[in-house]
Amino acid sequence: MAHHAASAHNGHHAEMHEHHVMDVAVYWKVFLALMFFLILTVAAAIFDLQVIIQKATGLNIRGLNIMIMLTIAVIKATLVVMYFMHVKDGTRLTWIWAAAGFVWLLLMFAMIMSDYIARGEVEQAPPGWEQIH
Amino acid sequence: MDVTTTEPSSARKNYLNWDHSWQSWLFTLDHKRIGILYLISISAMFFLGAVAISLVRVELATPRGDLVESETYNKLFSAHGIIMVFFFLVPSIPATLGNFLIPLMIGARDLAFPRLNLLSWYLFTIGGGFAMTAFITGGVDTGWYFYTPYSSTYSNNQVALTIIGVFIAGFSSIATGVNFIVTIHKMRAPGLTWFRLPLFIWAHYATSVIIVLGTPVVAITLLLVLLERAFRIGVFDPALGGDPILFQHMFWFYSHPAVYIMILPSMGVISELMAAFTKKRVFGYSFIAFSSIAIALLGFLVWGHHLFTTGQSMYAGMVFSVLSFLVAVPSAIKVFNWTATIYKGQVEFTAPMLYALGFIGLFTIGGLTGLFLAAMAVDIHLHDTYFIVAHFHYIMVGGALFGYLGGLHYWWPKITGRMYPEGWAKLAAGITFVGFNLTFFPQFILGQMGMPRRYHFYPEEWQALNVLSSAGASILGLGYAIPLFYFLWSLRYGKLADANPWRAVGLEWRVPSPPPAHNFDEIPIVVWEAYEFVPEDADEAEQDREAMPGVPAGGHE
Amino acid sequence: MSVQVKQRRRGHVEPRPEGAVQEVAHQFEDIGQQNESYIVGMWSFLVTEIMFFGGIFMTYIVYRTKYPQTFTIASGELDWKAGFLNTLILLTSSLSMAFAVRNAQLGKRWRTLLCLGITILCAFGFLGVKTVEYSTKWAHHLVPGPNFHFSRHGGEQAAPADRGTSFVEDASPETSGGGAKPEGEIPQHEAQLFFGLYFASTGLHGVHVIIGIILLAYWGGLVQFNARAARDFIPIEMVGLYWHFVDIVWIFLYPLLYLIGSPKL
Repeated sequence: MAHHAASAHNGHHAEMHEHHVMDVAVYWKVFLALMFFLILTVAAAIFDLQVIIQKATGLNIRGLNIMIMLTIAVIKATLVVMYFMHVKDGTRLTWIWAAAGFVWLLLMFAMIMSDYIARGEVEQAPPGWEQIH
Repeated sequence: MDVTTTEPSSARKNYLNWDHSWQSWLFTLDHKRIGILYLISISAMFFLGAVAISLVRVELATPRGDLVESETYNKLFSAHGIIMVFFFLVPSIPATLGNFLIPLMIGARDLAFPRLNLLSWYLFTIGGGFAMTAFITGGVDTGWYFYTPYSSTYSNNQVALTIIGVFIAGFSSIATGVNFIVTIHKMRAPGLTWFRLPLFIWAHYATSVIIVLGTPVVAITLLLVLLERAFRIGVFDPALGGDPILFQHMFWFYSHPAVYIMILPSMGVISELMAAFTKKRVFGYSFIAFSSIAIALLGFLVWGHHLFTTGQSMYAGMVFSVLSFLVAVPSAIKVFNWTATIYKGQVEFTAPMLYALGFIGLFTIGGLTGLFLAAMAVDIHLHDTYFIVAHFHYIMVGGALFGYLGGLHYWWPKITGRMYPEGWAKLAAGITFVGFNLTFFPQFILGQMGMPRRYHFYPEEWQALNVLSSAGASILGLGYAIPLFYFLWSLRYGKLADANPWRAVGLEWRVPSPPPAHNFDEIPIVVWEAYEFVPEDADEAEQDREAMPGVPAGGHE
Repeated sequence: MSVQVKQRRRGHVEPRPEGAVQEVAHQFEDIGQQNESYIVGMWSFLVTEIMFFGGIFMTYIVYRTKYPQTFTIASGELDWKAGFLNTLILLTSSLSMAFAVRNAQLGKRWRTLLCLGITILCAFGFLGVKTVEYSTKWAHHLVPGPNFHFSRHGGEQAAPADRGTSFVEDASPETSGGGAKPEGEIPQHEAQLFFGLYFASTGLHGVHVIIGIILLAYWGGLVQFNARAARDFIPIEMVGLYWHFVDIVWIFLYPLLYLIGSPKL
């Protein structure tokens, strides 16, 4: 039928895109990885790496802990999205929409925080301002 | 909305007459019927919003506050803003014309999720019910943008109820957005590639992206206002360590792009009208298509221009100012391309085309005055004056509403199977145009002179311009009322419309008017480009139509 | 000539090679189109959910950068062990949800039901722990409102002497001696903001968990009675996507709320 040729344009990948049934072992591995990262997060919070580094080297890296914990959280979320939510085997369209929310959220954080970071920087009047007024 | 049974048009079963029971309307899953339900709801909303603002304009005819007290005045303009923005403009074109036309235009039998579509209408109705209850039981005086801490801490009227209404309506809009995105991605007929799509579809896709990315943010923001009212958690209250500017950031993160939710579908309509009434392919098709997407994405990066005078950092203001100028580029691309489409076209000055031409002029004025406001220094003078009011009404009424009215006229034969009376429609379009300009042009001058918005009295010397504006508003009201009457009249007495009364192209004109409930007897396979008019060889086009199964050639029945 | 006709295949049933049976709704042409429509639709809905919770996270970021010390101290008041337990429970529920989807794909009805049951149990466990936490906060006057009063109870019954070792070193002798009057040390409003955000974010998350339980129970019921709709695995997969999303929100909430206050073992 002519429609097969036509529908290739259309992005229905009915024939190409079968639902993959993932192996049980994959789910278990992902779960164990999630457990590992959970314990790692808590460990990072309890044994404050920032303090340890400061004691050892005198170097104070501000916000190191929260960065470690957030990195771990991102890894955990990625694992869930990729394997539990099957994005790994999803079509390109699924990838785009799965990414869109996170990307747009980061954009919102960045734009709003750029205001907060720059607040109060330029409240000084230019020289000679008093004479004009 | 019933078509009388004595008319020959009812001989053929279509989506309107296959079942007349009220259940078949209230529980319908047909996108066309849901579009009609939306049309009725938003028309009622538009009427209420218009009543509120008429009182405001009457009050402003004199410099003293003699008709209503300041508190009532505040409630009136707030009701006008809330109704018009959240319950009319945001759903206007997408939920009525979009709902009706998207499946027809892309060759699908329905939207991807018909039940979600019906749910969306019910959510809209429930949200509207909450808002109406709020207005009846005391009203709300915060203005449509609920600025904190006034709305969260001090205002003692029905803020909570209104916010719940807006919140629920937001979900209805999200449901529509999700539905459109999936439908446009997955339901296109074979052969209908992205670049063969009508520009109406591109515009609705861009709109849906904004809805999906933006609406939840305003939902959570308003929810935080509710929590603040209930528990005083202090997120937006400076007295409790919160930051009201954070509210403004998060509110405008949605509400500025929401402007594009209102205008983009209208731009889609204009593209269709331009092609249909010049009998030409739209000039610069891909530029218009991509400029829709560019507006949707860039539109998210400019909200800070609402905060120039409210304590935002100056550096952030500069960035937002530059980005706001940038968003003018895709908008201008559209205007230039539409204008170029007219060049050497066979222009027919039908009523929809008059609205479209009006749109181009008014939108250009609205857009250019927007650039004044995007310039930080100028904005400090014009902020919160009538200049702003005039500016956004040129976009919202001169742009979005003109597009909506033009589209409604253009597709009215498809929706109802009846023609509207052309003479009256042209008259109404003319009256609307004159009335609109008379209402809002004086407000530019008033704003530039420094008249602040949202006050119910003003110094004597501004009376002349205000009277002019109020007079214009009554003409504008007449311009809205006439179509209401002739549209209702045409349902029974209008000339019967054939499948393609405008001799336009597009899949929606290849099915009978009104379309059958299942849209297409057979899903078409599209092998032609968008707006492929064949002027020199009209016979071939006629043959095409004949070859289309289920569509009687050259006329009605 | 330019119009070709495609055969309609509406309302037909397609057995999956893996075992599940799927039915094509009237508006779709084939099962591949239908399945991907649902997945893309669910993901674009999840985008709205991401932005919805994103607003709360935005607020959190702003106030945490504004009041870092108070947030650290107030976070110490949360019971990180309860949070740990809840994370454990939610991750487990995600695993069983993933298995439920897998079994539904294979058309294994009873296993699907079992996995859905475990997921629901986990969800109730999560809510149970949350209830205990909330009632502790209530007892300690940490619910924002007129009764809010933040004084460090030291999470796990810390002795008053414990206070000096904590973040703020310069507690004056009279306030630390007074026992119940550390206001000079910790601004009440800032602490109230932390707890406001704590309740707003975990509360919203809790509401999502409750909605999740309802969805799971509804589809579990349909599977139980072998309803026609439940022979398709896609609805279960949709519920699964939602449930995993709820899990992801918690993955971020846990460190941001419970772990920023230098918890002790």
